[in-house]
Amino acid sequence: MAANRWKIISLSVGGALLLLMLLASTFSLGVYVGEHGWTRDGLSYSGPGGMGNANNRPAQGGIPPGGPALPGAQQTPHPPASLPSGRPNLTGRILRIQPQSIQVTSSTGPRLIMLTADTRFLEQDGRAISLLDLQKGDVVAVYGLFTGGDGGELRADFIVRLPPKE
Amino acid sequence: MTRTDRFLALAIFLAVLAVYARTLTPSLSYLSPDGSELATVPYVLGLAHSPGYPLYTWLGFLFSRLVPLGDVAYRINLMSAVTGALAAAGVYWILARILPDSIPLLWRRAAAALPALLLAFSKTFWAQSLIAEVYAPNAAGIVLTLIALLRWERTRRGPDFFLFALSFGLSLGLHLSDLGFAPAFILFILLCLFEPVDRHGGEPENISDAVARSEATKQSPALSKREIASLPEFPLGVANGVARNDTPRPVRSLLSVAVLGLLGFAIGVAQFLWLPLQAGTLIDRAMLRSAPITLAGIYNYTLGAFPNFKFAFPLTALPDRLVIYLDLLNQQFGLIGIGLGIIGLFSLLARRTRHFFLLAGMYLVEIWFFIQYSAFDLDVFFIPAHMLWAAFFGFGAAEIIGGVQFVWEKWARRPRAFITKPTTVVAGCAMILIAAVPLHNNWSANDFSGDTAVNDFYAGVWSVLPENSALVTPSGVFGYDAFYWQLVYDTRADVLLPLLPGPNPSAQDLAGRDLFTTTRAITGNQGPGALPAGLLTGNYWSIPVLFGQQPEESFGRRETLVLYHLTAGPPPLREAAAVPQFIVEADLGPVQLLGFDLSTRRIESGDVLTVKFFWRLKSVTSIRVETRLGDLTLEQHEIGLGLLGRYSQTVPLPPGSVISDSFALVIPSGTDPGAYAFTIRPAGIGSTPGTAINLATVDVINETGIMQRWLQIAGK
Repeated sequence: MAANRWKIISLSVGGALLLLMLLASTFSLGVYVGEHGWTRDGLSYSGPGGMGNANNRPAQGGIPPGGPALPGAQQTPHPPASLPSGRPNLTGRILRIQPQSIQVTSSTGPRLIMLTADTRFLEQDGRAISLLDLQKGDVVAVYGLFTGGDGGELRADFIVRLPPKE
Repeated sequence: MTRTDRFLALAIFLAVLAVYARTLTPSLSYLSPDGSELATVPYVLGLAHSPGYPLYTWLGFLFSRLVPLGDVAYRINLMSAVTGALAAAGVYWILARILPDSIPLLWRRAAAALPALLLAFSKTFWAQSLIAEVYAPNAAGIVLTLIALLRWERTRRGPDFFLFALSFGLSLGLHLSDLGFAPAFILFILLCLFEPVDRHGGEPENISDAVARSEATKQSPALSKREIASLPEFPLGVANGVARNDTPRPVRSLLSVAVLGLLGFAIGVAQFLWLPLQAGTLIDRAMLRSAPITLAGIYNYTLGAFPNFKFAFPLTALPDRLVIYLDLLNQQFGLIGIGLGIIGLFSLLARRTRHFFLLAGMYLVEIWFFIQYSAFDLDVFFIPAHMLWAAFFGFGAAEIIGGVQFVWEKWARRPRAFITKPTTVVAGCAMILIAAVPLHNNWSANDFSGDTAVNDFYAGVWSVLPENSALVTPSGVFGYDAFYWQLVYDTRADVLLPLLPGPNPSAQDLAGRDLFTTTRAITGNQGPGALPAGLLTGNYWSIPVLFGQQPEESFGRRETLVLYHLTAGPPPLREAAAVPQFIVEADLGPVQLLGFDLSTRRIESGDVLTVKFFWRLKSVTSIRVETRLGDLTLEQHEIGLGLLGRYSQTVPLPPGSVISDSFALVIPSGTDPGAYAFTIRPAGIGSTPGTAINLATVDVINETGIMQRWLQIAGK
């Protein structure tokens, strides 16, 4: 009798636990798909100001990111460039880096930032960097011109890497 | 466990180990941010970063000293492979022990073997079993702890419980997060001691259950006489709350278990005394801030470490975090694996309720903690959860088999014996072969056997550094790719690694030495690995002198492997009289490539090739070029070594000036012998690479083995 009662109780508790797990998973998936669709764009492994995302192993601290070297271009004290004035067109976290574009999060979803030969890459203090110094997960401010019918693309004139939040 | 099960567990261990050995990282790599440190610290019996990993250090010491293969880093990588294979075999062992009896034995074994192999060949688990990291050894530690607990569940002997508690305590030296399993363990133990026994129905959960039932019903239990006869005495006097002499003494048993458990656990945890003993060896500023030399320091170094990583997300972010976990789970087992795991969870609850609370409890704690953990390499923290999911998968597979069997018998209206033993064996083997799918799919991504970039680069670094120079590396954990060589092999003892003796070197330490660095971030950085403020205060010119292998496909997999020479004055870029060894005279837009010098046209793979390009400037406009050997990109750089803008402010460069770039290139060890075209081509950002200019044919030879070469350069 006691055994039966115990069995019923444990099955009920366990069943409730499983249903809760499934419910939480389904709810989370629904919320995510609603925001990002069936993509992996919203999967940022680290927290706000963190260091990477789904496909990325970032640099550790002061170590520059991987990728082909652009020797000397970063550590040399080039005269600091003037940062563009005014507010940036877009500020967000980098989702993907490609040779001719980067994808950045925004409040309205991922935005494609087109790079041109004239696009300049800067640190917040005006030091010149290169595309190769950027990495997924970096927060950047983009100055440029929105293009495309829906304004979803932004042709970048300046991309300024912002320091991670403490 | 029968002899067959032991044999199958051994077979799984050997098969998985063979795959891991074939794909093992040959030495140092950047696949883990801590990998170089974790390959070095065990050999020197030092203290690793928080939480210290004492047991990992000791196991690594044994591997690094006793295994007569490869270099020290290879031996530590091999430790991950052995322990990863052990964990996979352990998953089989556990499943063979607890899978329900509702399906024939052969099928049950197949249902146990398949998830063990799927786990072994899953993306993350496999990758972590090939490098110097704590995750594969930790997986083995968890599995061994579970096996010990399940053994105690069966025998109820005090020594077995002591072993479990000891194993649990020791596993914390592999990863401290295992402590989160304690509530599930305690719940399971209480259930074992106090759970009422169904004396009339249901499937027995263990031999003790079966015996209790047989005594209650006076019927033969569903176990062989031999198994019954082999049952040990129960010193604790209780089998699921029923003593053999029908004297229930669960509270007394609980006390005995508590005493033995605390004793075993305390002995296991005592390994953390290693921390204050070795705290003097710490060279990482971040770690020294919570040096484990006081009780508070020990707490901060262990349980209190990385406070900003833990519970780093608000409640509203948890749905997204859960989706990240589901995505990672999908990467390991696929949607079918997720589905079977869910079925398995229900099966586990219905058929092995007590084990459900053990395994699901462990699983939930792991998920709850790590979905709120902020780390870029989050995937590796879920490895224990993946291991538990493999167990759920096994139950799901068993249910599917049982369902198919049921349908087959009903549909075919034939007796069960119709499914012959040979048919079952063949079908069972075919089922296990499903594991070939992730093996095949993940092979190319997880074959790290050609990952020689770090060692090749440092072999070159030690070759080109002048006598009594100083090599400035990132600090702490991230400097160990260089520290490894001097700590393990005492390589180039004349070269000063200023960050190695202590975390706070001063500029005076560098006085009179020729300065080199492997990091471009020599000033202004504050993150982990950053250099101490004031170490390099001069307005240095960073001149690249050696390029390691550069990845073409992925950003961030490796750090940029470049050695810079730091000089107070500008490099001699401008050439008064250019007399190249080989004339080219190719127009590349704003510049003309006049020609180049090449140190040799016949080179051993892994060696460095020195090249000097001569450029005529039409204006002070830099372009980017890349040099290639066959299809392999050796490096990319802006002409003028990336320094043209600054240089032109120091040295006038009127149109028509000739400058030169001179540097060394590592020819990767993995380059097959043969003749390769050495080419250069424009490679601007945002544009497709230009047409390649053929410079020379270079013969690559391979007369010295890769490992032999590294060891020679290391000084052994």
